[in-house]
Amino acid sequence: MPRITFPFGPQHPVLPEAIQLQLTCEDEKVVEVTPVIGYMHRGIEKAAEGNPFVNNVFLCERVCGICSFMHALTYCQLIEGLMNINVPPRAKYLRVFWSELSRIHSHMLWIGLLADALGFESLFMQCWRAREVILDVLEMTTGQRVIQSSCVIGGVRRNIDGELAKTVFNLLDEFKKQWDAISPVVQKDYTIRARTEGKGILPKEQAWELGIVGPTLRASGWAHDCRLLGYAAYGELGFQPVVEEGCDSYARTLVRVREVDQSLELAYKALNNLPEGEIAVKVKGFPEGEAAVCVEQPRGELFEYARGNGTPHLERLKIRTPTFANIPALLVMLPGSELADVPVITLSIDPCIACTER
Amino acid sequence: MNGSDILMALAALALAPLIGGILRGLDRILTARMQGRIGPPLWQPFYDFIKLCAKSKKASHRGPVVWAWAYLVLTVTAWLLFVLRQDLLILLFILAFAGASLALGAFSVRSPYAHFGAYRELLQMLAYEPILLLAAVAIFLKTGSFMVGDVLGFEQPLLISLPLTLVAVLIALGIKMRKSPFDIAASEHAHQELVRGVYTEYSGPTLALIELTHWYELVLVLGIISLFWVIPLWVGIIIALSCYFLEILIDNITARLRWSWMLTVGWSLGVGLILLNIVIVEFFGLGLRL
Amino acid sequence: MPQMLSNIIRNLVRGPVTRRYPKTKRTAFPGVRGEIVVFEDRCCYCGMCSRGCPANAISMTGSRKNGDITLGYNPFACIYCGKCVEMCPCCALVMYEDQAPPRYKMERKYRENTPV
Repeated sequence: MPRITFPFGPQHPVLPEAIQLQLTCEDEKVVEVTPVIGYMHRGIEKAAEGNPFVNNVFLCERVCGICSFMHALTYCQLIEGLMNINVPPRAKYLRVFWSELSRIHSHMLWIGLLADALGFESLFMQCWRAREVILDVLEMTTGQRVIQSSCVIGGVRRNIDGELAKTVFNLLDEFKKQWDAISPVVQKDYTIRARTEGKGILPKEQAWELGIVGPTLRASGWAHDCRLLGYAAYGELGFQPVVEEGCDSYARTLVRVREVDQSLELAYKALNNLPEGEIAVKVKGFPEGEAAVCVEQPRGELFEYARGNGTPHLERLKIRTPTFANIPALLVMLPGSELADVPVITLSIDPCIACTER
Repeated sequence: MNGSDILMALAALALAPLIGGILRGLDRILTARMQGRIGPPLWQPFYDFIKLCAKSKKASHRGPVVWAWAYLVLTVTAWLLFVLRQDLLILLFILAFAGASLALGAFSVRSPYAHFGAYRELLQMLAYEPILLLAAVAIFLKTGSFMVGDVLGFEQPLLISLPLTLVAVLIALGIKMRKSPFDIAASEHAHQELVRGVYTEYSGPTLALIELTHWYELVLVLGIISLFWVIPLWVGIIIALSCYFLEILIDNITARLRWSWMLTVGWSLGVGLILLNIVIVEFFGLGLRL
Repeated sequence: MPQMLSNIIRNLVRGPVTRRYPKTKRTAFPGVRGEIVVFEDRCCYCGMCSRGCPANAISMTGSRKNGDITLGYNPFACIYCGKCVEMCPCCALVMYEDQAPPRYKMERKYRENTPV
């Protein structure tokens, strides 16, 4: 059979993101992969230079629709580092709470998409239904479902107190109930295991050399998690990164499944131990100097760098999103796989192309 | 062929798409309910059909359209043969050729999605055709005839002596209905690596034609299943409908698997079950030929 | 497979959880950021909102001296962050809890009822 070049994307129902994978196939076997990105560059980094630095929070949030809170958090931490702002502890705990909820809803979305790519629509619906509970909590506590806009430089904008906290706990309990019905399916179902086990192997050494981040790296046996740096309140809450040794798509699925449990635990912990006090401090002055910061996003390590010159405008803002670091992994995982496994393997790095091209 | 036969054929020709469409509508509602959704109205497949017909004709060239017509005509022929109580074996071969024409239609365009879909469609046929043919052979061994008319006249329900054959035919039904775990060449919805596989290049009225053919095909395969209990006929129809329900249930609890797995299941489990059934009936004398 | 079966049967028995959207709508949670309405009669034209808006959705045209100063709000550019509402000293910008209905063309719309 002759070689067929198979265009996977930029518009493909399995992967609703603008990335093209040019797959050269021999029969059903993929022999060569060329990823093509650059379909939706939005120039956010440049736009950030033209905005006052305070307003960039809302711009940075829009880098990604799923992990928008993390992007705002990263930018806020970056500027707080530049300007030596001490964030009140209550704001730090609230930030942890919302980031963990974002992680849960991102992972739920991903598990749903994986199920959808596998043709498992009922699981997809169940996952998104459970995710809706988390989105309700976010909407209730921050004011909006997806782009929360609750994190600002110097703290947070909303408080969670008495009555609201009770409702939030009830909703989290409901989520836990729904999640407990789904998670055994994702972990044990025969058909899901048959489709993910041994697919898209990313060897341990190679994962480190390629600079892979996030759950993709943790599924290859490296306990690498930026939350270990102890930013926000993670240092006080304490946690252990989830590590799997499988190196395949199934291991990556398991990492995310276990991270949902872990994030839920952290969210409970953060809300239970909420310290009293202010939720924000006033910001005075303008950023000057250079700073860089790493935050663990649902997809991995998000890196931001900024240089200020004492004016309301930043001189440079650089955002490196985790998917950008993870795309090289596809070049290792895809060749040699079957065409039918391409969606699963591509999804297993949780690609967020909108982030990548910012 | 006499007057009543012609009338019956005409009635069957008109009724099959109606029943098939309603069954598809039921399928969509049931699937939605299993997923916790409300789902579309019962008549949604017909609305879709009308909408598709109203669209402008766009095809890359005449080839795929001709093959789509061949798919329809051959399936309808098979359905008429079934209604007119003709030979089961010929019917199955015509059905096989109908499936092949779908693959040929996909081969006649240059889209890689359609080509991969066509390869997989052929592999899919390789998986379910032996099951259907062996099922016909098992029925022949039991009733002594390949004619649907003779099966209909057979006193003892076939299910009693051929239960394993029915299980095997269920696998074939799953493949024919393109349900998980067998939605490999073309999935029910387009969230698959091949987009919609063999149907990718079809649109508008031609796609409506294929949808219509699916309704005929569905009614035909369910009809073959109901042959397993013909006296009284309503028991057979209930068996066929419960098989249909079972397929929907299985669709909702499994993910799509690969073609190699499908071939293994089709050949080992499907063919194996029928052969086992034949051996039991023939050599252990359970319900010898009357 | 058996793990999912229980989920499916539970769904089948308990009935659908979705809504027929345009007919039944979910009530908004308290404190949700929804539609922003400008009450220009209360506006003191301080310009805080237009300076603070991260999306440049609010603009001041004309000048106070000439007396032709107006406040322009573009809901299509708005990102509903609520910053302007927080900043406004004279409550001329009001945020409602339910979302603005889908619109197909630019039009200015004022509400009759009182804000929450």
